[in-house]
Amino acid sequence: MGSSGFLGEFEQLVLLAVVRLGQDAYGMRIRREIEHRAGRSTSIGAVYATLDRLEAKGFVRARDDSSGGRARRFFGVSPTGMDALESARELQARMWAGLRTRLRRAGRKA
Amino acid sequence: MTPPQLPRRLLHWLLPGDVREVLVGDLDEEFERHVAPSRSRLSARAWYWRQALRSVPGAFRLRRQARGRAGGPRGPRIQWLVEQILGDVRYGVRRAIRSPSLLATVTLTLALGIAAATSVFALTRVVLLRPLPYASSDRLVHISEVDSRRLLSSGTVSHVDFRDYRAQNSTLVDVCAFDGGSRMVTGIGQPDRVPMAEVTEGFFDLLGVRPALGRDFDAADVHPQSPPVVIITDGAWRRRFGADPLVVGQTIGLSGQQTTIVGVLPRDFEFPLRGLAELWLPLRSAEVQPQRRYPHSIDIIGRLRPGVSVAQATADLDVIARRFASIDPQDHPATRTAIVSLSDKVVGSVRPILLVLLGAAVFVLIVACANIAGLLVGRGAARLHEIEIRSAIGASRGRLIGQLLTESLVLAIPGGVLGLLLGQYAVRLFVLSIPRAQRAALPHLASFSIDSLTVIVSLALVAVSMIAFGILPAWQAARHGDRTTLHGRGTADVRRLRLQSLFVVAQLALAVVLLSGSGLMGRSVHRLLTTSPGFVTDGLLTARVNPSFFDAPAVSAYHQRLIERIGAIPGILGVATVNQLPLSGPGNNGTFAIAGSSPAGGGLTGPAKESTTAVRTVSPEYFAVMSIPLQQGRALSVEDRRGRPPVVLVNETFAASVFAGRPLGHRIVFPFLDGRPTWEIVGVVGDEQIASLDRDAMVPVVYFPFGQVLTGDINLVARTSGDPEMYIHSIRAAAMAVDPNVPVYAAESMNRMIADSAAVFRRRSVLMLVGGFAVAAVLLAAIGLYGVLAQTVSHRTREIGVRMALGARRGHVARSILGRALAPAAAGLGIGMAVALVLTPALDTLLFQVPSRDWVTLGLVLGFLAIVAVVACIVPARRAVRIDPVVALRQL
Repeated sequence: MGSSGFLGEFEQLVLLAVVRLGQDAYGMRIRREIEHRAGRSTSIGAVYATLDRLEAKGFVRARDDSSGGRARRFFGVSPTGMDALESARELQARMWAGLRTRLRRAGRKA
Repeated sequence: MTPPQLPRRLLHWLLPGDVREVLVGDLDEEFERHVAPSRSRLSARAWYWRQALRSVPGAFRLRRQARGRAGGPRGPRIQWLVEQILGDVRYGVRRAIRSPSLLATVTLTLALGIAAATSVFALTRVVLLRPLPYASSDRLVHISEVDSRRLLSSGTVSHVDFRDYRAQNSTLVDVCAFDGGSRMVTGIGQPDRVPMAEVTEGFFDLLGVRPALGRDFDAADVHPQSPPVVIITDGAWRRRFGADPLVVGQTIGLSGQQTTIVGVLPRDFEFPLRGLAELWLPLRSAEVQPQRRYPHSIDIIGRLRPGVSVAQATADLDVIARRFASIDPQDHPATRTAIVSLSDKVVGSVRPILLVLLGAAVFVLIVACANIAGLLVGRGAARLHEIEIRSAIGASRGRLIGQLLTESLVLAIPGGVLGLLLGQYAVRLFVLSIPRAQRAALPHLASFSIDSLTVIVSLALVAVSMIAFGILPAWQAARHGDRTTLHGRGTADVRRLRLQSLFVVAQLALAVVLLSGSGLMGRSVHRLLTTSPGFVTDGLLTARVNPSFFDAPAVSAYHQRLIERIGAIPGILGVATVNQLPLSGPGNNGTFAIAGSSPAGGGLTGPAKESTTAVRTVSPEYFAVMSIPLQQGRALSVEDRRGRPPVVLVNETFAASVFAGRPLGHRIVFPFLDGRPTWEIVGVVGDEQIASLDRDAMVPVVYFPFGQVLTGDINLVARTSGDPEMYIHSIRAAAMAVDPNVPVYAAESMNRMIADSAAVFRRRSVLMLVGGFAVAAVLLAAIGLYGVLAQTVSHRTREIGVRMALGARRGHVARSILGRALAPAAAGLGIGMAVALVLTPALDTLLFQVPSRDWVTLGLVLGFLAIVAVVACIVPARRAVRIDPVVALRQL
């Protein structure tokens, strides 16, 4: 992973959750979004550690807000982050291109 | 619902400052808004715990990332260490789960050892280490009077002596006296005989106890003419009065006397020296013959003044006691006082028992640890590859040992927890199994509980045993990591097997010690149960009756009708009475003098101290019913009653020690009997144990005929055909028919009375526990031995194959394998024998007619363990001789 433009799988999940939640993207919501939509159980600690790294890479921006009675940290995806998501999707699409039928055939043979 | 605090704090502490509030706030919000409302309390809290614990790695990543960005040094060393340990723990858990059979073996073995150690420790803690439940209990003392010239000194004092000690001492805050017995309670429910204690005024104050309801006794209460009063225990108040808050002021009948309840003792009150007493009455001087120094029947306790030692108090009271000798030379010829702390008086006799049990339990724990250590060393071999790699990529030996120790900690946790739980239940069960009278005689057992010290010690035991069984294997394995490349695996294997053999030696040695201890106890209990107490115990029923009327004709008439009624029950072969049942404690004794001039060969042949004898009052049939043989002269008969010449029988010991075996025709005088009649000895009967089975020496006894010395204490002995306890119901019914106000109580067979007696119970409990520990140790040692040999065989498969291919005979191979295994076995047995010879004298006070260095027991133990060792070796040895050379060589 490193600080290049590539995204790890979990990083993608977190970024997508932030995009989906829009204005409401803070830790607890993001964790629940991943759990409900991806069906993948995860800890709040892992979510924050990933958001921290994404922020360091410049893919998300954080904004602290205490208007809800307690301190919350809201996240938004930066333009670089959007680019990274886009290129991750393209990368996948390129690698998948033409493989579906072949996989299906291989499945039949087995 | 609020989130559980412990995981919340943990997480808070671990997180770096900038995300701490927001992250924990998010977790709390989810918990409160989404989780708590939709789940049970338990499941919601479990969810929080899971989240917090699973967030720990994330927290560390956050810290690392923050550090990386700052480009600064590593965070505080402690954090780094926690991270490393958590990593090891995670790894350990994964490994433990991956080898469930090892986990199960370690868990069960350790649970056994921990359960044994914690249960015995819990008991020791409560009985021996916790102070008695009184104010400044360390300054409370028990004072007894001993007279070197009296044969049967029970340590009690006379009422006059007590008053002198109380008035004349200068070292004690106060001195109080107590006595005990039982009273017939009427006026609430069925008439019932209830154990009671009598105490002088100031007794509860001396202990620092105040009644929870009502008042304490005052000086007026002990006055013989005052209206009778009683203080009841909390237990009696709840059971007998339904915890009635208005109980103070009510009256009950106590052995025919209307008595006012003036107080209720607090719930936690206990006095083990009168453990069963439910009724506490004022000890009245008139009832204990105020002017006579002779009757010694009361116990005294005192409270030392601050700064006064037991020795100073003893010196002080001895001065008073010496004065008695000049006032009363006949009954106090050489009186001294013996002062011990009250707690020594209460628990002194069980201390050696508990220490023996504690030692045995610790041995079991050591055996368990040695066994697990052997297993782990064996496993270390399987991990050699992994350790080599870790070492090669730069793990230091310290780091490797740390990791392996953490793994053994992880392995130890389930066994430790299971052991703690098992130990708790085991000790509770054990406490419940103690006969009621024995339990009441020990402090804190009525409300037995496991306190925090016990838990802490138990946890420390788990940790210590984990290190004990983890350190050697870890060190050994880490060493392999360093050296394998130099020495090759063969050397490492040999060293590993040598270490394992060492553990087997230790286990076998301890098994020998435990087995010898239980063997000695077993032989003692057997001796105790088979030794003849001087009468035939089978088919003997005992019961107690205490009529509450005291005038002689009434008692006499009641006695006669009772004997007739019970004797008429079909299946009752004979019935008699005695004022104190045999084996029920020291009981009455008295001094006597030989009357007038005596026939040739008479006179006191022994030293003067033998002018004290135990005394019993029996009905004429007593000796026939008990099967005690008449050896000289005649038996007692119904003709020996008031108005006829006073006669007594004496036992063999009395006849031998006082009259050189020829007592017939001699006359003796007992100063304590009114009118000082002269008693002619008309017969000699065989000896019987009167006080307790475990007294080695028989004591002299004089038997008065019931017709001439009436007593209010009537104990029945009946010879029955078949099981004596089948007759309890019909005997009760017969007694009811004679007088419905005099119930029969405490009916049981003589054999049950013996089995429940302190003499047997104490040894039997030690036998059961140490025996159980020994069985566990033997099993573990056998498994350990088997494990080492099985590994030896698989390690030497190739070598054996080569040998057999070169023509070695099977017998030779078997001998070489067995020799390898039996050498540590022999060493273990030898060391065990030496240790047993050193340690078994600790059992001395518990042994009965068995020497503490008993070669028979030791021989049997060694023989048995040798057989166990051979059996444990047979399977691996057979596997060795069945090795197919072709298959073995192919592995080369």
